[in-house]
Amino acid sequence: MKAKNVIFIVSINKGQRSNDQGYEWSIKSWSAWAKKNDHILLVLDEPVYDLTKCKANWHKLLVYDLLENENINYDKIAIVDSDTIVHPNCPNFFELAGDKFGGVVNPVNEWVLRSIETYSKYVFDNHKLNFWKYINTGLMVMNKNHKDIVKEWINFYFNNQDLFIQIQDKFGVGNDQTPINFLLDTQNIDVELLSYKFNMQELPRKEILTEDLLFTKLGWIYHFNTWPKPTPGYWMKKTYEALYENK
Amino acid sequence: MNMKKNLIYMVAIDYDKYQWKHSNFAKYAIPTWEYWCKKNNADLLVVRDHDPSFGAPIWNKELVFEKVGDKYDKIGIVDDDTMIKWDAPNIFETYEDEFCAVRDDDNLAFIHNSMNAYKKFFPDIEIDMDKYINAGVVFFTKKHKEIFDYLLKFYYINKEEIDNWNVPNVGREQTIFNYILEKLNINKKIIAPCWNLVNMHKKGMFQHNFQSEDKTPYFIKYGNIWHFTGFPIEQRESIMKQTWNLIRKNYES
Repeated sequence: MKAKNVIFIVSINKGQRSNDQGYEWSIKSWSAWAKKNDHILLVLDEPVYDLTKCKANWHKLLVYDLLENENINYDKIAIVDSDTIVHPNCPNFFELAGDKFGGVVNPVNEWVLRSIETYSKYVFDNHKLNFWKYINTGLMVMNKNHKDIVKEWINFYFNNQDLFIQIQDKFGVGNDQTPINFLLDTQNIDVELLSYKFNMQELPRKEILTEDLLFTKLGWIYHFNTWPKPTPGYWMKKTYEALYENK
Repeated sequence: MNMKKNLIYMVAIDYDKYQWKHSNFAKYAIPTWEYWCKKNNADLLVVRDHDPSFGAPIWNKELVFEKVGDKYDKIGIVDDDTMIKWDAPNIFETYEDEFCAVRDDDNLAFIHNSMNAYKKFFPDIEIDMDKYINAGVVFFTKKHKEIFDYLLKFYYINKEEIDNWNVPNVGREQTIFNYILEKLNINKKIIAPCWNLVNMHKKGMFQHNFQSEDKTPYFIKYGNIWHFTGFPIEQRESIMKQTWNLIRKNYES
């Protein structure tokens, strides 16, 4: 059977906050896009590890194990967050990354800088990271060549699990994203920085989260992070319906 | 005599029709650029007199080659609301023959609207938003004279319409600049945003890491050129003054 590209989403729905995210709209959009482009959609909706020990974010890196367990013949992989909606006509971003690790820069903000400084100090031996190369892990494009690297990252997490949990509890500077950025940089992984159009974050700060859905005219993958009001779910549903149902 | 090869060009004109005196911004910007230019063997030219043929001071930027000819190999044009960090590297050593600028991607609605508004002058030109630059800090070479010739020609041809432009919130010269770069197929080099840190307030970069003992604001730590835009203009002088008071000792040697 021909190897296919895989879209992988971790969608572990726990509690009201998860309900307000509107994950179902994300999955529906990715399902439609995957079908249209002959890709495979793989959704992890139950935790593999105790979530108090390994947050859902870190579960994203289990993708290679899951693909092997499911005997899926894969080519490239995109890990996408469950608070994203893809446009039905989104171009094939797998090709844009080539053989590199693909990601989109996270617009700099206070949290990003504080997170970088904190992880630099406590985990990564004061390694300096340029904020303009810092990617958002809501979209990561990888291939078979990254399998060992990603498995190494999971080991790195479990070897430092207590420290990671303490950092998040004490400083609130995120789970997987900043460590992954440090690992990419310290391990000299070739990263292809994709256009913002493929992971449009912080839509309110970019001033394009409007009732007429201006953002849908400006790019392809909409990431409803930073908790847009009233809820991400409100925007996810509205966007999905506009792009997929009211055509 | 030591002939300098590189130039920083700044327009800092007090204009009768404007409420805000640009000299009040430039008085904090200029000492930083003077220091940096001296340290990096570049000249600084500050234009304070408005050419009356223009309807707005911004267009004096485009006169750079009229004023200096081909005397300099590399040139940077910087707005008068920018300050450069005392130990910023020599930007002129980081490029060859490209036109260098930082992407402007903070307010995408503004950029979208601005591109739509000015498209009437450039109906056949499409700008990819990924390549839209902030024109407040640009670095280039003397081979880029054609850009400024074209800008001036464009202005004079459309002077009446441009001078009376009344579409709100779409900017003045920047989007036209972008269209002309695209029209002339200029080889652009998008440089790191530390070379033109705009909208620092929106990015939280005036803050410091409140969980650290280091109280240095982020913009001081991570920027080479600070561009004091993105907040109400009435606050600009005060913020530039506070910044200058915070860092002036670094420029005294």
